[in-house]
Amino acid sequence: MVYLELFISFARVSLFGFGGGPSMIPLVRAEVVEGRGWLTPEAFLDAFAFGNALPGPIVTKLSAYVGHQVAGWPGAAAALAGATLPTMLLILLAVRLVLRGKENQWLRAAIDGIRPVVVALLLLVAWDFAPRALGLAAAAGLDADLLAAVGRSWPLWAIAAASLVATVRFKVHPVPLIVVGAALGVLFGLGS
Amino acid sequence: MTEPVAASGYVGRLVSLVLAFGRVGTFGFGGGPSMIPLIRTEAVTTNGWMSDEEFMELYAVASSLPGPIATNLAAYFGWQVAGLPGSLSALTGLIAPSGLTIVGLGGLYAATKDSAAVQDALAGIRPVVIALLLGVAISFAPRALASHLRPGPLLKATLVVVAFAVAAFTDVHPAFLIVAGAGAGLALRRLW
Repeated sequence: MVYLELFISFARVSLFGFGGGPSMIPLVRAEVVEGRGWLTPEAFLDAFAFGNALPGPIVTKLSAYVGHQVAGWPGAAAALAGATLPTMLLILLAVRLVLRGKENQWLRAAIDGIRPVVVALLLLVAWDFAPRALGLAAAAGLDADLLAAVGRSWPLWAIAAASLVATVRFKVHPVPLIVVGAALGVLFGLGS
Repeated sequence: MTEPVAASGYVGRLVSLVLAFGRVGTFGFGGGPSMIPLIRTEAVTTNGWMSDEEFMELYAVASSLPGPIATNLAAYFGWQVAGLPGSLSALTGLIAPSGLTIVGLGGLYAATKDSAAVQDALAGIRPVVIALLLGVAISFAPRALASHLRPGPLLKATLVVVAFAVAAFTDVHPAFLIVAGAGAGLALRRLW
C-alpha cells in the first residue's frame, strides 16, 4: 500500500538524518530515486531546486512534493507524517531523559563519526548528478567523447563554478542563484 | 515581528502556536539552520515559552537527535504549550506554507516541463543545484572534520574518503553508512 510505503520511506529518511535537514538529502534520494523509483534523477534535482527557492524545512517540502506526486493529498500527508512524527516522539522522550541529565559523551562520539559520513554522502549526491547537470550524460566514458562533451557544455560548467564561488565564498542566497541560472538557460538556449 | 498573540484559553494557545511557527515556516529561507534564530525569537522573545539558556540546552539536544531540527523544535514547543494537539498545531504552522507552495509548483512543473523555454531554464538551474549541493557539503566540512575529541581532522578526512568510495562503488543504503559512522565514532573514542 502506497501510503504506508511513503510513510516508511520518509520515516527512514528522518530517523537516520543526523545533523539537520541537508544531511537528509542523500537519504531522500536513496529512497525516492533509487529505492522506489518515484522520481527520475532529473525530477528529483528539479524538486530540490524548487525546494531550495522556498522557505521552510527542506525535508518536509520534499516529502510533501513526493507524496503528492505519488498519491495526491493523502500521499503528501502520509509522507509528511513519516518525516515528522517518529523523530517528534524521539525528541519528546529525549528531552525528558537527557535535558536534565549530564551531556551524553557516547552520543557525541557517535555523532562525531556520523558527520564525516554525511559530508561524503552529500558529495556523492553532487557527484552522481553532475554528469546530467553538466551535459556529460551522453558521453559514454570514452576520453575523446568526454572532452568533446565538456567543450560543448562549458556554459553549464561556468554557471556551476560561478554559483559555487557565490554560495561558498560570498554566501549568496539560493533564490537569486536559481533565478540567474534559469535566465541564462533561457537566454542562451542551454536546454537544446 | 508582530505583537504577541494573547494566549487566552486552550484554543488561543493552539492559534498562537500555528501563527508562531507559520511565521518561522514563511520567513525561514535557506533550510533548517536559517530557522533557528526565528524559532528562538518566537519562543523566547515573542511568546516567552522559555529562557535563552533553556533554549540553548534544548537546541543542543535537538541537534544531536535525528530528523529535521526545526520540526523537532516545533513539536517540542507545541507539546510544552498545549500537549499533543499543540505539537500538531506547531508542525502544521511550520510545514503548511512551503508544503502547499511546493505542491503547487510541482503542478506547474508537470504541466510545462516539456516546453522548450522551461527545458532551457532547467538546464541553467541544474548546474546551480550542483553548486548548492557542493556548498552544503563544504559548509558541513569544518564541523565534520574538526573535533574536541582525540581523532584528528586527518582521520576524519579519511572517513570521508572511505564513506564516499563505499557509497559510490557499492549499492549500500546511506543509512548503513550512517550507522557505520556512528560505530566508528564510538570505536575511536574507545581507542584514544
